[in-house]
Amino acid sequence: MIDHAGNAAAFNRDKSFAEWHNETLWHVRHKRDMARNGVVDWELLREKASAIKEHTLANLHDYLLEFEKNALRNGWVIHWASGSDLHNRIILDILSEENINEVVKSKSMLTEECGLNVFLEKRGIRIIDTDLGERIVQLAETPPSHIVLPAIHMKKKEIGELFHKHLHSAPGSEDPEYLTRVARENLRIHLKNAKAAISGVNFGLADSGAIVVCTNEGNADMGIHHADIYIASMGIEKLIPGKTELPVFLELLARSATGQPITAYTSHLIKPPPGKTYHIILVDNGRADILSGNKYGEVLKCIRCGACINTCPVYRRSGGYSYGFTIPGPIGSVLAPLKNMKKYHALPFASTLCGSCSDVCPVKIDLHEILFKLRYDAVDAGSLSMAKRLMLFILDQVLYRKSLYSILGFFGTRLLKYLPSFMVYHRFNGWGKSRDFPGIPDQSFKKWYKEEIKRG
Amino acid sequence: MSRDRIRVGLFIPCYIDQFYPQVGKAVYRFLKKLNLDLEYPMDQTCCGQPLANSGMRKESEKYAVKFWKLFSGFDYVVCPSASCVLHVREHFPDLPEDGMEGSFRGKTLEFVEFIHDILRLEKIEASFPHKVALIHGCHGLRGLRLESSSELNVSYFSKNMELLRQVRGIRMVTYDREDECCGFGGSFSVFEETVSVRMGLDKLKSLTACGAEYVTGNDMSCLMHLEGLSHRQHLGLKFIHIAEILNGAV
Amino acid sequence: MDERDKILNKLPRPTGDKKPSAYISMDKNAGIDLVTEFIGNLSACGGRGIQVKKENVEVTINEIYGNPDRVMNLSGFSSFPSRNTEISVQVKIDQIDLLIVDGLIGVAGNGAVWLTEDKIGERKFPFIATDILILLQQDLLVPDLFQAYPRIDLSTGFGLWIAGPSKTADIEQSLVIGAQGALRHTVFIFG
Repeated sequence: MIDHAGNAAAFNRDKSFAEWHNETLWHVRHKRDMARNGVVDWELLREKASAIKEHTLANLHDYLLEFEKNALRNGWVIHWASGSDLHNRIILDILSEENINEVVKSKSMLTEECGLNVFLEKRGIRIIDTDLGERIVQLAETPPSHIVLPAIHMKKKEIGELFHKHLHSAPGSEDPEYLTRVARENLRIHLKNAKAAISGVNFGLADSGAIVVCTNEGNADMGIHHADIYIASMGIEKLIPGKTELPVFLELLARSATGQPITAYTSHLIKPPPGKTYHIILVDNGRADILSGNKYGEVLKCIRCGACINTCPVYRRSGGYSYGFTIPGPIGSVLAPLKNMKKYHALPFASTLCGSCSDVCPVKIDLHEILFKLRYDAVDAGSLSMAKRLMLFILDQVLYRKSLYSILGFFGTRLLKYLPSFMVYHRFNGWGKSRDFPGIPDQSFKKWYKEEIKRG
Repeated sequence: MSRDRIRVGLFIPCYIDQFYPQVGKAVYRFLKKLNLDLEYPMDQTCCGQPLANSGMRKESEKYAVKFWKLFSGFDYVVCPSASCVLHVREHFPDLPEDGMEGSFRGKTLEFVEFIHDILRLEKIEASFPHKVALIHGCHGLRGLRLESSSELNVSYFSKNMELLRQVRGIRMVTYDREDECCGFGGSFSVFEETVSVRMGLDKLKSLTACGAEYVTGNDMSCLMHLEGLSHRQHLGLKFIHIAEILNGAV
Repeated sequence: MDERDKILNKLPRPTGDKKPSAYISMDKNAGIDLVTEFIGNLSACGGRGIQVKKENVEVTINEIYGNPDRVMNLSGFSSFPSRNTEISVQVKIDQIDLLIVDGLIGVAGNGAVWLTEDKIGERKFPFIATDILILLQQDLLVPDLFQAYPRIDLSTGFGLWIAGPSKTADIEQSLVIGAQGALRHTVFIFG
């Protein structure tokens, strides 16, 4: 069970780091705002993106068939995987058949979701993450803490030490440029010698049977084009009708994610070149259930830009790991309980419901509203602790009954006034630890109103 | 319809009733001056939002029934809390009673919304010669759209500022990250104490840096959270509901 | 039941609704200077855009790049030579100092240029090269991606938007140009 509040408290113990984290991610949000300012039709684009995704999801069955047909015609090998186990098994089989024992991978949240790295490593296949941030967290043997900025939770000093240990960078070096060069030299060796490459997919184009991969570092293409075998892991929700719709999403994606007008590379992989094999694994892993559940299907509109994460005031002050799920922030807090309510029931409560996530979302997922509804689901599933239930039961009794409310209100406010402060402020009191209670008025509004009416 | 024919039910949220009666009085007096047919149903308690936001769907629903019974006869229900209004409008369950859907939800309005959108007051007679910072409570901002939010690419608007600008002597000050949440969030403030406090202190940092004497807003709950933190830190900031300023009370 | 049917059967019945329009009016683009816009956006992407007269392409290349060792010139507009004549037939290339290719479309709104397989030799070349120089005719500039895609043929094997050199900010959000791909990226706009 994930205790977000507890994890957040731990995150805030290093105050200066917590502040840095907040400021740095706010800066990414700010860059996003700047990039958005340059697009007159931003809100129209969001509406279109949302409508296109909704339409595609509502007709996903047919679009998948169209995609399959066209991709087969283009020479792709198509695989289907209903769950993560099968997804991993398919990759293992492809690699084993060719006796491949090292594979390069570019950033893919789906392979994170499926736990591919651990799965392959256990079976003797070395997997090299080639995105710099992913490489850093892989060397640190930790999961990414953010879907676009995997190592945002680490300081350059730590990364310098890590690189010194694993990549033989100069001891004590922490210059980002130098460290990036060190990683470049090392990763280029892996990339150029790759026999097999794995990547995620940003968009699948049903009418073209092609996929689109957006990156900044060039690592995905370096791997894909050097390798003889390429495997694309694609969630079934990544489909869009085709190239007519693609610009809507490309105009939104990079601007929302990092404030860039477009990623450095937007590769359209259509057909394998002669002598090479291209695979696509179409992965469900719970997506069809969310979609057929009819309630929260819109979460599948997500294009994984991370804008909701960067803007979330709670995420920025609690860090990616506090969510205990592959994807943090508002979108993670929605996806996690849909996967496993028992384990992740705290996440919908890790929000003030401020709504910034919904307003920033390029595909207009009503994230904060879904978080609100998931709170109902969490309680319905019996996930709330006894202590919280009791507290809320008492609150309910007090708030609902007029008489009880007046009496308790009266005594409560009076009590606050006269109780010695050590009784009001103690460690069991979440309100009073850092905040004072409001001053106590002489009479309630209700009482005043009664007198006012009498006075005429 | 002339104003004295508009039947307005006043909904004063529970915590305002108990802790901030002056806000209720300001709203009452302000609307009374306009000759509205004003009434405060005595049996009211709470809209049930604290329970709903904590996930207690079943428990919160009876509040909606009660609210409906008390307020269905009015042309408008006016409330000095954007958060409570948003709850009524968006999270009240669909009740079997006639008329609950549609029109009734739309008739529950936040105080500023009511005087700006419905009464369309052209002149505010008030004076408040102070430096004031406005905090943009999220439920008013992104829920009721009282103002434009910084995430969207829309032209700037603020119903609050339109009214506040008319107050004599007032000097509105701006500050950093104006529409980032203050961290109150209802039960969040208690269950996620660390982050809530962190958010509040960050907000106070911007508010003190901008030189404001007073901090105002549409939600006393956000202000209560910030006031509690500010008081503990002896920051000397004063907190006042927007209705108090508009009513001219100093 | 195989995996394919298992997934397809779980999905809701298609609604068959009409595909929503992706059309965005281009009125807003009236009168913008595409070259200036392109150069500005490319620079924001860490690349460099230079307006060059057609007859000066060779000279300018020389001025900027001097005389690099391994040049791969695949452009139809320039005959800038490579000192390493082996390079074009070399099968296993692990280093290209300068790659010169022709762009097919340029997007003013984001600084990206469309490259296709038949213009870049091999798919990996734009990523291996240390320096990439793209020659783009000025009349191939369009305001945004919406005007670009109707001109794009996705029945080829591989196509690519390239906007600036490879870059990363994965270490403390410090922008570093030159991650795994090209270190420098230049576009000549001529016409």
